[in-house]
Amino acid sequence: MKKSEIALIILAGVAIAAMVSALGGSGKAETFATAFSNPGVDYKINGKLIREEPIIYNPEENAALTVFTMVDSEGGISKVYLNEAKQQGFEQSESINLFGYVEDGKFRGHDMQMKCPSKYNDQKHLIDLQASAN
Amino acid sequence: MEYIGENLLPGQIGEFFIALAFSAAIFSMVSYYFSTKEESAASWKKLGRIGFIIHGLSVFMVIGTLFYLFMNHQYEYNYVYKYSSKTMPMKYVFSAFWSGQEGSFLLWSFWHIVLGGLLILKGKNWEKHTMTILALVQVFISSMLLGVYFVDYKFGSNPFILNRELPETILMPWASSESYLSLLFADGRGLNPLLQNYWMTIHPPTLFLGFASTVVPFAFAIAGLWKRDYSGWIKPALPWTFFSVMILGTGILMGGAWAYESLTFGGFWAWDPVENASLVPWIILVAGAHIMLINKHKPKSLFSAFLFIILSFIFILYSTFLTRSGILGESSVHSFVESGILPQLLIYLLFFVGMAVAMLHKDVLERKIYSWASFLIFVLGIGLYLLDTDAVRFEYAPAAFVVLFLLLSAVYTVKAYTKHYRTDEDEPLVSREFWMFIGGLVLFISALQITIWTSIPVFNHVASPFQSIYANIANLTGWEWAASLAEGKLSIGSDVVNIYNRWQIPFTVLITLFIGTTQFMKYGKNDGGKWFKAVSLSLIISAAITAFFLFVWGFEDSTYPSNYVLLFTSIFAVVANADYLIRVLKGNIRKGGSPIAHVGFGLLIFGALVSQSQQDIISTTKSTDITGLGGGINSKEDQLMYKGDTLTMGNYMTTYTGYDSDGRNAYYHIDYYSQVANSFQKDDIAYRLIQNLPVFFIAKQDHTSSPTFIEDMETHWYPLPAPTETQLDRAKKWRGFNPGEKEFTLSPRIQINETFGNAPEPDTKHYGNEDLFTFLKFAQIDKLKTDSLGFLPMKETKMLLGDTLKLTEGLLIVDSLRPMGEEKAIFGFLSSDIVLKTYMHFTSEEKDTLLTSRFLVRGNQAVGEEITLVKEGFKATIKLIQPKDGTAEITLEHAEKSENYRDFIVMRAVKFPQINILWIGCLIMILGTIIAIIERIRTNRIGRKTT
Repeated sequence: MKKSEIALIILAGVAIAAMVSALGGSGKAETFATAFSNPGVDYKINGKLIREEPIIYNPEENAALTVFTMVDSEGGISKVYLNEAKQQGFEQSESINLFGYVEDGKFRGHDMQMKCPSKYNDQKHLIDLQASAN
Repeated sequence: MEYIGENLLPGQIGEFFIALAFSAAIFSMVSYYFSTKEESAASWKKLGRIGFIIHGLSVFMVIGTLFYLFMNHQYEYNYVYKYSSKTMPMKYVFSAFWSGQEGSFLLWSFWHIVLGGLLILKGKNWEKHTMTILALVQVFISSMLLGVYFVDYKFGSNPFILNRELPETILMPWASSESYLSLLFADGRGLNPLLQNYWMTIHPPTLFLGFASTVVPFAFAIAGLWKRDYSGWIKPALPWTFFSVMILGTGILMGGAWAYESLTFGGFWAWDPVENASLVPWIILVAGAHIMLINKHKPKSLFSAFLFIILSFIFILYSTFLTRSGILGESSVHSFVESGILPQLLIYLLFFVGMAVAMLHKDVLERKIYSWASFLIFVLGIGLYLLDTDAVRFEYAPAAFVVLFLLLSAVYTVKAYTKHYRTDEDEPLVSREFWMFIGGLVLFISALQITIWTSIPVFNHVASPFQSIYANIANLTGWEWAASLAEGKLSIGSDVVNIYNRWQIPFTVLITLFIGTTQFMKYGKNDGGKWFKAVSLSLIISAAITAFFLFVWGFEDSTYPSNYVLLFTSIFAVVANADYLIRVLKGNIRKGGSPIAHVGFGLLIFGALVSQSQQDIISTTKSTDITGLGGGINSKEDQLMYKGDTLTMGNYMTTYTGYDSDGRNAYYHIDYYSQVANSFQKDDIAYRLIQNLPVFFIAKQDHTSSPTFIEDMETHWYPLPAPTETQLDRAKKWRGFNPGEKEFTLSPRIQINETFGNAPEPDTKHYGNEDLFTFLKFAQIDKLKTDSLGFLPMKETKMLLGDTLKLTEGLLIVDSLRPMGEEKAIFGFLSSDIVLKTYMHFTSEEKDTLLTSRFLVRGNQAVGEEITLVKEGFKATIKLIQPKDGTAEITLEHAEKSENYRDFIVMRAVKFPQINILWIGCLIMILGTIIAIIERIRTNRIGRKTT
């Protein structure tokens, strides 16, 4: 066999083995139920902001604490204590990827990504227009 | 019916030209195809060219019509409505044009047409074959714009569709009202504010030219296979390939620069799926381009050249599939969800996979077998899907058949390699070819890692028919990934940046190492000793520079030990290539494209490594945790600044001076001063806030302050527990520094947009050796709403006995509770009432006032007495008192007057050292690639003249 083929096979084998094992250890999107039953373990939770519940951000007291309520992909609802300033446009977010863990019965988030209203999601906007037109 | 105000003619013209473009592309492709056969080749070629010209002009007409609609604010058209508005400055009309799916396909088509024109002019005897491929690609892309219905299924998306013609709106009552236009669509929705900048005008065209340009090397590769001229395609394709490397790389880097300048994540690469999707083809293209170089003179690894060039184009198609189909769904907060286009994109992608694999086979019979098998799979997949009913479920047929097709393709690819391309010839160990090949492999594995991690949502989707199988595997083996796949919830985890860096940094170490070592190797056999001697100078110099940086900077990095190695190898890449340019090429710039480009790349990696791993967040705030959550939530990295206060930040003193807004943007001005150590004289009084209460000290002697109070406390200060009135007057808050000269002002801003949410944007101070990157985490934008008396909205706070509420003018402390006893009758309360007298006091620098409030509980009703502080503009009422943790918890509803409200912001400031080297590296890399392209064209021309 050629040197290059040997190199290829070794490289590919190592890479694939490493990738598969690494994927096994990576987290999957979870629910609040799982997080609360495993306190201290970091999870990624995908869900939406519940706008009817208060969003508390008092930067004068603590500039990096935002408290809000969120519903996860299976309908589980929890208050979240996020260790970040309230992001701009948070109230308009369409979905949230939250990273955090449960401690002392409270969900503490340390990172959050939010999805802003999609530029393409305007068909809904057009349907809403009907209400404003009539 | 006639709708008032509609301008339908442009739309109809546009739709006509879309149809014409599509038909002309088919015509051109067919004509060019026939021109590759021998009979009347010349006239077929002419027809092919005519067809392509008609196609090109039609696309230009479509583009022109759409621009016309934008410029004339024709909001009855859905595309114009979505992406522009009357208030949008016209200079952003380009950004608006290609913000959406249809516009970006038009941009892509535009570039293909330009490139096609060049191919016609310069393609010589490769024109017929390459243009057949290009015309075919254009057929696919034009079909994305058709918007025609075939039975139930919509092909493509028409940019000229009217708002009232959309499937979601066509049945709405207003869609049949003749005056709907002026009522509902007098103005457009407007462009997302994040896209209203010059980057959106220059980045997409550059990036899309990059995407488009990958079709040319691909077309040459397929043409080579088609003509059975397996190595002759390489020389003419090389300039095109490096052009694609250059322009796609530039487009990607522009995206990074844009992110750094306008977004607030403080970086230029977020490993977001959309970013990754464009990077992967570039990496593979770089590998392919280098392997083409190896095969230029002596074809030794033709298969790899074919494979990588084909894969770079396939991954462009895959990247467009990922970003446009919506398959990334919720896992990417940047995914662009489009309805209905997934199947078309998938077919586009898989068709070219099939075509490439078929062409790799030299044996016509094998091609036929593979093609028919693939076609059968395709028909079965679609057919079964269409047969999907509630009785017999076939909804997962497409996913299963896609996997089947890909497996078949992989098998046939390996078959082609072993049958036709495998040579027994082996390259020497110390040779340019061998190591460039290995480098190409490493690049490929790096691209593979990125693409596999990015595609995990696709795996979830594709695995859905097999979920029970994965569940069984998981039960048997306990493998987590199988369990996740069984639920369709596989994900890469939370720390995205670190996840990719952990893999990519070791790969980059290898690549930069090879960049340095291989430049000194010749093609063919090299004398190992001589080579090592040549390289050793660079090794030594690089080691010295690395050691110097480590020593001078105290390069601390606990995250990745591999960062230290990367520091060395990136410097080595730069030094070795510079050495090669100077010593071997004797400074010949014209022939130095390659070493110059590699110097640029090395600098880019160095700049990225240093600025990201050594970044320093200089904004800090100490905040006591009063959330009741215990440790862990403290705002360490974000600085709260009241207007007018001067605070220390890093080695600056900063003052927030206020903001102004023009309706579109609110700019917040922060002045930066140099730091001058504060000085105190004997008997000066200073105080520090501990738990929000002032603690006083008196200076022992004259001294200059240290940066922190702790350092001075023992030596320079006596505690002063009971300051007198005069001492209180003299007391000043302790500061380690005073502001010196004003150095500059930064004005990070917030772009105001109600539809899309306000967007914070940074302001950065660029020094030669670092950047100071600042942005707002929180700021008050809207005029504060006040009630008729000037009070801001009420806030609610829960307080235990002894707790403190921080007000603008001072502190409110809840001291104690006492239930009223017999004196209730005196104040008119019933004996059955429960009256709790709450004692509080308000304290500030000026005064200390006692306050009482009575809380009455009668039956099941409760009411509290309002307390007011007139001068401080404060009022509060107790809403609830309940026992908690052995003491009482009081819920206080309170508000302050807006005139007492102190404007403040919360901001973050980060230092990025040596980030300029990153951008300089980008420019040098692009410059070097251009020099190499020019030299390649020149060499090819000379080569043709002499043959």
